[in-house]
Amino acid sequence: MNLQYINFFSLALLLLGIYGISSSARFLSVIISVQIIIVSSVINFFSFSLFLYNLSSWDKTFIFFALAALYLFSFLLVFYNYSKQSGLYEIDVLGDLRLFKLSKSDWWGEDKD
Amino acid sequence: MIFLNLVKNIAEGIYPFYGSAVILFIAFILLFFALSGKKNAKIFFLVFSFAGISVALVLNIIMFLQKGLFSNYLFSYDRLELIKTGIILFAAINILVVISINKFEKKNFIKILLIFLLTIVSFTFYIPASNFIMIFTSLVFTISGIFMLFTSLNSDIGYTVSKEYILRNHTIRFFTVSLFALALMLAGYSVMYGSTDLKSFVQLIEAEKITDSMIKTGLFVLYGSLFVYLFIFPLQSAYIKLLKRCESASATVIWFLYFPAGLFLFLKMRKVFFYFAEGNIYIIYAVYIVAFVCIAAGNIGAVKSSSIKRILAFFYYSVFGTALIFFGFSGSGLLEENMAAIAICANLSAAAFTYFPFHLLSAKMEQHNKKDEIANLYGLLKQHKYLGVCLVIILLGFPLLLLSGTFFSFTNFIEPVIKIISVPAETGAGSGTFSLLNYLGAGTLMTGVLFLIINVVRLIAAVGKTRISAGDGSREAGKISLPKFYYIYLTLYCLAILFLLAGNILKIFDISIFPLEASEFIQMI
Repeated sequence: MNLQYINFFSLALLLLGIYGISSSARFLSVIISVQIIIVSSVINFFSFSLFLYNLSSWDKTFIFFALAALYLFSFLLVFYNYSKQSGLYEIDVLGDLRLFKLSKSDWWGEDKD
Repeated sequence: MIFLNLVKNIAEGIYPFYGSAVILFIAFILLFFALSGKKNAKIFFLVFSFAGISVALVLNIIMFLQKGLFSNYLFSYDRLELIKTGIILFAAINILVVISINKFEKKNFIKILLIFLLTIVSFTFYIPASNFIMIFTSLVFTISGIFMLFTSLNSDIGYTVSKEYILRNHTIRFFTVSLFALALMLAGYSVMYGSTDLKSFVQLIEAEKITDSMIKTGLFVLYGSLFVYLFIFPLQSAYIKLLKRCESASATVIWFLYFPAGLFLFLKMRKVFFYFAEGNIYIIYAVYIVAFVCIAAGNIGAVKSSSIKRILAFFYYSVFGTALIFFGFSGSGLLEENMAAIAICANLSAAAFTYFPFHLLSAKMEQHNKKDEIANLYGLLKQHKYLGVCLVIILLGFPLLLLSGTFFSFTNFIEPVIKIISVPAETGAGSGTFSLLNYLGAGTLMTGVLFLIINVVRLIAAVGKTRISAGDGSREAGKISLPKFYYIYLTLYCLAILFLLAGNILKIFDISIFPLEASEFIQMI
């Protein structure tokens, strides 16, 4: 196993995640893209730990706390999106959740509602 | 005796988190009454929470003066952290005022209080965090708390189903961007770990490896994540759309809890920034461009908009931009580094002194008129003269406080600009290209202030408007009856702004009326 190849793989995952977030309009696609970025970071941490800092437990501690916190936040978002506490799901709407838009309305925030 | 010793040991062990302990204690008591909807319980816990946060604020200052600096593996508590904690606790008191006015009648009021207090606790842990693990984890917990607070404030606000859907859609967009930014931050830390197993930004500066390309890449990703987190142009869509639709108390949560978290991370990384920025033309160029875009687009957006919440949302960008310009000045050697760090805190304070009273009043108008627009302010000066005058002073205070550096002397703010203008290009203020760059920075700063004044004059004109067209008659501000609390609240802010401005003006003549000499305080950071 070569550290360089692992790093290339993790970079590819990071770019894939960023692309997914920039282009997806669906909630699940966005969440999955975020997970891909997180996996890329975990690969980085573990590969560096394995090849460079063999005795370090710092990366494992970091990953444990960081993942626990991040997954808690992701869970909150997913729960909020799918919770059915109101009549929201009775209306037929386009689920457009693209995070970054560059239309005139999105730049200046102009809209009627 | 054993019990007293135990208490003493615990008290010594939890410094600098006395304030957090007080708030946590109140949250613990609230836990047993979270389901209560009784009015008396609500009043009791509201007063209890106000008292707790105020005690935490005072306790932080007193204990710092007694015990001094603190540093261990996870935390580092210095004067800048004291200022930051002070700003957040002060903002917390004001947010609590807005929440209690808007949400007191709701059944879930005590639950909202509980979530609010826990969010403040995690924020007070985030501010002194110095270790990467602690910085990241406490930041994510703080954002999670802000998300819960935001959604609970916006639940059941009487919107139609389609409006509720749109609000929900934009809430998810906004916080998914934060999740993305946090995932990027994790990626940044993981790349930095490849070059060194150092665990804090201070260690990075002290180590020789800071120029390593892996660290540079990691820092680039970290700054990129901050750019995304703060919704800086052109990524502002989710923020701008959400702010217009959300309930008014939750807007203050975004402005004074969510954004400060990002700005404080920028402050934590300031020494790394200065290490690379000093003498580096490209970094300073990038900072000036980001600042220029923030100031120009933020102020133009505010001029274009007729929604008060959106105007305030756009204004916030000019606050970022002005603070960033100071970082550019510091990188060029025109200003000391501490002054740039303090500029962010000063700008946040200036924004707080204007936003809270103005937003509280405009939210009342919005509630009455069922619409969020600048026309809600028409006739205020005519019908409520006293409030109108207070509001005019508060609005004028915003650019004047920004100009005078809030708690710091006018000369601190204007000094770099004077240096750039007065010193010939070949000799000072950096020579050649640097001088040209600094002209760009000074020009941006002055343009920002000019735009800000134009925007403020526009709002003042709305407050003072006496001739109201037929279509606006029903929304006239003068027809709203306002409780006495609004008068007291606005008067307090008005007096505070006048006191700060008087202090800043007197400083030009070497007369100090502030209890603490600000310039000495800056030197100590």
